[in-house]
Amino acid sequence: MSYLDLTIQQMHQALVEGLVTSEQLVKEAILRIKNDKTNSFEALALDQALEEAKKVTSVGEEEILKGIPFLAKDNYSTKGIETTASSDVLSGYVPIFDAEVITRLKNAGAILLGKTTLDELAMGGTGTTGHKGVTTNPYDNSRIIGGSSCGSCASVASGIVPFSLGSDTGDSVRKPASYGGIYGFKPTWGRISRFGLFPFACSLDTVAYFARSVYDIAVLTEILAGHDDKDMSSSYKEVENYSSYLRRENDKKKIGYFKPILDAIDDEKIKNSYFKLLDELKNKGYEVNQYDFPEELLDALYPVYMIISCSEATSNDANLDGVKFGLKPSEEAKTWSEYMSDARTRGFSSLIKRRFIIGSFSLLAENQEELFRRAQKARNLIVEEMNKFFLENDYLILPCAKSVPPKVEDVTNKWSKKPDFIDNHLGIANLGGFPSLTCPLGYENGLPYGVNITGRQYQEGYVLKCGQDIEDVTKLVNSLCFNHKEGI
Amino acid sequence: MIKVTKEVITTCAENLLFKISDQERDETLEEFDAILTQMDFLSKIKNIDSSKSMTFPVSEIQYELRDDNPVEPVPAKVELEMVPSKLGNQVKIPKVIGGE
Repeated sequence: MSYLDLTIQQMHQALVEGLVTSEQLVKEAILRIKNDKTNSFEALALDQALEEAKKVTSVGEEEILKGIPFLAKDNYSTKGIETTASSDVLSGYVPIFDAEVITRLKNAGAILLGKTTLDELAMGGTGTTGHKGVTTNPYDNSRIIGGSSCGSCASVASGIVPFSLGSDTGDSVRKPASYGGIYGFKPTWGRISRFGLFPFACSLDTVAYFARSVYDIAVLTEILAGHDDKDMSSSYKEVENYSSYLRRENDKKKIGYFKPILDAIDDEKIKNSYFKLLDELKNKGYEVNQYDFPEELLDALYPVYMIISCSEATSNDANLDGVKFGLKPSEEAKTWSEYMSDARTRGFSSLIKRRFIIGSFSLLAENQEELFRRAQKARNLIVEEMNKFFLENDYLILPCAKSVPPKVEDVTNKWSKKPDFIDNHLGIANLGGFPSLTCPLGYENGLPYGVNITGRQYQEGYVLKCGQDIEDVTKLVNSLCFNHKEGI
Repeated sequence: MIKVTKEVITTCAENLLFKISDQERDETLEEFDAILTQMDFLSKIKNIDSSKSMTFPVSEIQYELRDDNPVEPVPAKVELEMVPSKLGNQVKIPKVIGGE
């Protein structure tokens, strides 16, 4: 057993007791990065990390993150470390400031090893579209880990770091967490500052993260949450002691589920595990109810998400023009428009161009009412229905995906004509800004699958408590690709 | 709504300041077919036209004037270490204003 295989909580205790040093942890992480087979990394800052680790000579009981290594998705600004969002258009861009969450983690003593791959500009869900190619699943390199936070998920699941930063716009942390057999959490929209996070779709984007236990997720939320003057959308609400929820009796115990989503899952192993989990939760005093969420609203999830996110991205990424930062265009460009057009033509992949064109088309004056505004109206109705759901239920609990991680050759990044709510239902939490946690649930032929909990806005503590109850049932703590347990 | 044609797609790309190949244009056209089919699902939703539009999921965003406290800027020396091109103590950016 390596100390690097532990949770933050256990690693911290080992550091406090002097059983391991931060330098040893970072050296072991560097070794694992060098032997990694998943293609999870962008720019690394290993020498700098080792220097920081050497400075950590003692760790106090209260310094939970001090000396602990982590990685961050490459769409967070990191001072002095190239940051590309896995897109050629940002090649060579070195930010002069840290994102607020990077600052908070560094202030807490955590040690940044470097940056991880993502689907280009975070606009994908497979982990196959970044400029460095496919990031694979450490359980089986012929399979996807999911996206867009692919490298961050793979590096926690493969034992390189105990936690990592991702971002979640549609399910970009919570779906990969299911495919990687780890915990992935997005809090309420606005709970954590997004200053320094490259925007994809501002009304949906959330800072999110991976870890190996619910307790670790709670501790990270305590450190990262809270208002930031540099992000006007960050909430002024008081930050709670989320970890204190985990060991107290839960006074909110009503679980709801949507039958059409379960009906759309063919995998019997996943369904059986899910129902077994519900039975175990009933034994713990939870009440389980089926809720009739209108199917036409479920069918709307995918197009609503795509139209809104593509439209917002079109605007957000207009600054990627090769002038202020990133890719330098050809010297032959004679005018400013030729210059920018050259940078954007060479810098964006075909997939990103298609997404931008969809967004631009949806925002044309002649189309806006029928496409963009209509999607926003449907969003409102979906969220109103969820708010009705939360009048009767405390949590929506559903399987994260219809299967274990698929083979790389079996995934597509193109739109389907068919309704596809089973692959997109986690996006409900982004449309409504709800906190949402993925927990590992079990394994099928050695491949992981997870379950998701979504709760009311700003009820992170309750969602994490419910997650703790699930963790107590599955016993899946520190379950990594090389030492995974069984689950249920 | 404007009919989606190859010309419309090319115009959108031009508005977005990038060029697309014939293959990219054809793929986009194909994708629009799927998108518009998906958007048709929304017509089955009751009361969609009378619904309000939702822009942000949280309604109580507070806007407060923050205190005007001076902050320490990033030193010029540090900034210059991170830029790809410099001239003396200034960041050198490409000349992009041409003959238009």
